[in-house]
Amino acid sequence: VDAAVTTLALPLFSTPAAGRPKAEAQPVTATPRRALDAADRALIEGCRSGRRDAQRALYDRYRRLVYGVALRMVGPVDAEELLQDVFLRVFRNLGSFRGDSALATWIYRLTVNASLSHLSRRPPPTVELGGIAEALPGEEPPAADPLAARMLERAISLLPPGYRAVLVLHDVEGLSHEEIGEILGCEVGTSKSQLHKARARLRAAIGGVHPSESGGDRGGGGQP
Amino acid sequence: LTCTEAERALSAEGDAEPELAAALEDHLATCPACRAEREQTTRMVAGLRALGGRDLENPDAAFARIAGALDQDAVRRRKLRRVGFAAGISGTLAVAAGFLLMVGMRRHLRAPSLAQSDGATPTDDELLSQAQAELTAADDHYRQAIDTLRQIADRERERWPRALAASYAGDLASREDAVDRAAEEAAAHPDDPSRQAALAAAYQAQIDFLQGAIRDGELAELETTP
Repeated sequence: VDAAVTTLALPLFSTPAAGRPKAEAQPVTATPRRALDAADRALIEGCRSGRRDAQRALYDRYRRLVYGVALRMVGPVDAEELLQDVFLRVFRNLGSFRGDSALATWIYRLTVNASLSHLSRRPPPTVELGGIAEALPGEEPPAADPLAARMLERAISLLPPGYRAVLVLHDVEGLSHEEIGEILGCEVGTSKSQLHKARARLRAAIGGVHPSESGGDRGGGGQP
Repeated sequence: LTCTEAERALSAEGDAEPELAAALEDHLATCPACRAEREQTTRMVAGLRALGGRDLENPDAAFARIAGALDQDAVRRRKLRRVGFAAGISGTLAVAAGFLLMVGMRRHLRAPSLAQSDGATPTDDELLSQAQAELTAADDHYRQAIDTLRQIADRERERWPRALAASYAGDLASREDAVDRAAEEAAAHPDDPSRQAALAAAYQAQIDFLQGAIRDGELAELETTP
């Protein structure tokens, strides 16, 4: 078991999700897998035995996943507190985790639920945004423009929590609609619909024009 | 496609059926506004994807706080086990006391005709005195168990949810009254087994109540502790 746990300290998700730009830093987030793999099983057994090294290995493996979602869902001020809350829930409830889904899926679900619960206890933001569209990354790699990133984060924080969850899971974390449906307990079509609305709201928030809000078709020979 | 349909198709890009994707491309070739929107969406999604990959500034410190909370969990679980053990001991005392009480009463009723001492075997009166001494000790043990549980509850209750702490105080007073009344009845009627049994039952109810309150408080705290 010791050898198995030792291997668990390796990064779980060493391959960036498809379509995601490669970052200089460590692996980004996880794509949930359908099955519970051997490494996760060993981690879970170690944690159920109360072994601190197994808890630390699980934390190291999944903390970026949790922090990434928490950061976009509740913002930088509360993200670390939320991460601690999520990991306490993980460790306290691993005994009841049946392994029907991938561990990453379960942890995503706990994180999103904790985020939504957190957001329900605080008033919605009221700050208006403007002029972000011009600040969005152009030809430069997006990560190279911290100002645009901060403004985009602010725009995300203005989305309704449900839209925000789907947008973060799909567009930031790179999960598929099938995976999002499993995490949120909704149909694939619902996830797609929510993403469509979330992107439209985000475009509107950052200064874009929504066709349906501009009086329908814009002309220009767009008929089939 | 209309612009509205194109806008929906843009949101589904990557998941769209080939026919819809082809129709979208046809529309974009002739609609500068939708083309601009696609470019903006593309940049927006690229910006969103670039937001990933952040890590905590101090992951070791965050884990230390998590580990500290888990250590507190372990302390609480040990405390809960101790409470359960104490209540189990008290329950055993209740059974033993009830048994002694009934044996003692029967011997008391038969003692006058059966009392014969041969110097080695205790007489019935001696056995009765022994049983009464053991009952007194059992009574003391009941009270000690209750006092111990009360100490735990008094120490813990400031961390309990307000509703639980408030109901605890009221319920405790009524159960203490019940014990006092049962003790007075038992003292006034020492030959009545039903009153002795009622006293033992009142003790046990008090122990069960205290044990339950402590458990509820601990579980509520486990639920709410970050």
